[in-house]
Amino acid sequence: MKKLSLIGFVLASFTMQAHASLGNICQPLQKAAKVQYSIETRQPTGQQSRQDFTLWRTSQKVAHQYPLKSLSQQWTRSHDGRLTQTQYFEQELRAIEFETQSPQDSSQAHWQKKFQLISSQLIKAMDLVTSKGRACDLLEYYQLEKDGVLHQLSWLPNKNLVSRYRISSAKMSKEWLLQSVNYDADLVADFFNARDHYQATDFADIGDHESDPVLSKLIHLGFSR
Amino acid sequence: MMNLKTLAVCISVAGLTACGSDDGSSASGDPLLNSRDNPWYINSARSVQQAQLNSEAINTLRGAAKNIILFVGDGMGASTVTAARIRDGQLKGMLGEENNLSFDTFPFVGLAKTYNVDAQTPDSAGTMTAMMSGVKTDKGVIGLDEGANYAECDSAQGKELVSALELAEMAGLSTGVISTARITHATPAAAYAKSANRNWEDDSDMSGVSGGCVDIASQLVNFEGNLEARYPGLDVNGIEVVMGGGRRHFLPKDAQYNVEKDAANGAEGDRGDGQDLLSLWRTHYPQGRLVHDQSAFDAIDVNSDQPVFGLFNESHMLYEADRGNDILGEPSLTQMTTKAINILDNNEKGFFLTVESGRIDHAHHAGNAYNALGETIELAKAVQAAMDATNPEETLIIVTADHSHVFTIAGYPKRGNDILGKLVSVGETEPALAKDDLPYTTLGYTNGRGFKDLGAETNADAAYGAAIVSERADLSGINTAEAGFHQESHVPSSAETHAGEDVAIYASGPGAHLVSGTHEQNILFHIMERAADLTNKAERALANTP
Repeated sequence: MKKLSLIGFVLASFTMQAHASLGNICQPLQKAAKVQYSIETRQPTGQQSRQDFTLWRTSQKVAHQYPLKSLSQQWTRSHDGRLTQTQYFEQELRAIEFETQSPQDSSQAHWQKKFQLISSQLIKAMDLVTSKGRACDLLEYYQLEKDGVLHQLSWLPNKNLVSRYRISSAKMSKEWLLQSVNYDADLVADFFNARDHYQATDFADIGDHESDPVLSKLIHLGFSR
Repeated sequence: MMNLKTLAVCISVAGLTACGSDDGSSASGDPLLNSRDNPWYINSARSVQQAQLNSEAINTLRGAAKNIILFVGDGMGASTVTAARIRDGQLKGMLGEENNLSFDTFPFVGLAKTYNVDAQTPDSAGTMTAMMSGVKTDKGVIGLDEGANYAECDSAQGKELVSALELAEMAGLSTGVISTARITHATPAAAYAKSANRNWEDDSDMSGVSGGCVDIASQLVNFEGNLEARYPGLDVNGIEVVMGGGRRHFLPKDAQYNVEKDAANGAEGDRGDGQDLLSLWRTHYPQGRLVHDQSAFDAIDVNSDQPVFGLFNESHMLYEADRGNDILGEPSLTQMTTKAINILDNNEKGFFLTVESGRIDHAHHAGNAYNALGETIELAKAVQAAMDATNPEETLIIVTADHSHVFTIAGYPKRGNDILGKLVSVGETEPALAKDDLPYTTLGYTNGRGFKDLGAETNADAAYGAAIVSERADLSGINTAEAGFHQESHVPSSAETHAGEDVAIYASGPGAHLVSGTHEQNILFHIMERAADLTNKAERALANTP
């Protein structure tokens, strides 16, 4: 059963890779990109949900946008590697700024989890099952079973992009599936610039502003770090 | 058995020697003998003698104080002071309860009723306005009386109050404002600004506001000119020392003005009007020192550098426990206080300084006693530094809070139990269990985000990134004394809240005797004004204007 699942995942990954039309020129890490994914979650009860997710990134900034929720989270990396997180509420045009994270919370692995959805450390710990294509279009398939969780990854190593990533356990399974990539630098810059102009509140001030009706609404929408 | 009244009479009339037992039950024949040898008795009797000496020594004359220092622990309610005192003692190796924070030794103590004109439980804007201006006002309003409506610019005109710092400035004293919060935050702002909304820290916070109101950061940088404009002919020299956080409100939203943040990561400043208020300040005070980090702070020459404008963080300064994580380095509250006094005391006429420990409040809002107590201990150190750097015969020092928090010291822990620990009952060694068979901490909150175990995290605000917890947690295997532990709360809310009970006022120096009893909070202005005769001095200065 597991073998069938493996074959199915690999075949589907390679098909998706062709479908996504990723182009032939390798895009360096510094290149700005808008990467669209779908996220599918399945419960053991058979209940499924699907949402769109967009990864926006430059060399020092990365944002995770959830269009259905009108919400995006952004991390910026300073010259000393420390990360600062901001949460943007796109309907209210407001932002909550978190304090710069400590060095231990700003590790390379932490940044990579935001920037490419998975750390290189975890990929290294996985078994390379097979690979296909070459140069920019090289697609690698990895797998790892650890602590009752199965990780299945289709990885574009020369683009630092997840093509498909599924995590499954007895409790649930979640899968990120690449839909499209856009390397339009102006488009990416516009995305970050627009949010940079939102009215921002320092999260340390939340306690003093609970009676602010807009902030109160944002509090109910939730913050996450 | 001798009753207490009889004992008191015996003590007062017979000098502790002549009263016998009224039932003759004492084996020694002198029931007071044991009491008189008891160290508790001896020490407290000495305290009474000292209190008597303090009362006799106090200078009660109007204008007897050359210098005034007002310390405000934002959110430092009585339970916070008690817990911090114990924590400080335990860090020194004591049981803790017997310890004293620096201001615990002040000779005069009173209580302040903190409510705002429109609110039973207040906020910092209304309370600090009361302390600085002598007039209670509405929640959220700074430097304006209750006739102004919150967030309505048009309503502010003609409602401006005069602050103690402004009077001191007019009287020729040197002046200073220090905070570990943003210097435009409500508490420090009440010393120098007038604003119908505490959140109008820069112009970008005022979109849609009409009526000519000016943001708080602009008011700070233009303080001297604004004060002179209100009183034609008046010539003042501006605030000599300003130190705190909040650089974002003084810089344009343009990365080229960044001080600390990488330009690639966006602008540090928030201002939408393009004004660089730090450059403007340099224009106003070309001889002044503008500093942003620890090394520049250390290099300040207290005898020749003034005015000094120190903005050490884009937003609030870091918690004392977290200070080591700042990229450029930030001075502590104690260091800022000492430096400020050493600058301000160059003026022979004296000085007025207000110092806020702004992040006690933030740690409580985040439900983190570790940092709230750490900040309070640092405030106590700053007060000690002020005591060491000034002459008590000429300096009135007041320590108080603007409001309290819903922070409790609960249950029946044994003496010396770790104040941040799980409750261990008297005579026991293992944590007591509640009716749900789970251990619990001595410290807790009535409301807030609830339990979090964030390990060694020294930034209390990290709790806002974790879910609100309303259920009881099993603390059995958790180190509740660690920096990242957040206490359980009873009522779930997005942030822990202020509380409405009275706060303590501690006073030392000329005029301190007036701090005695339960006061409306705005009396603090009047005590300071009387101690330094601020109004008369200011009026004389005005009368002498050309």
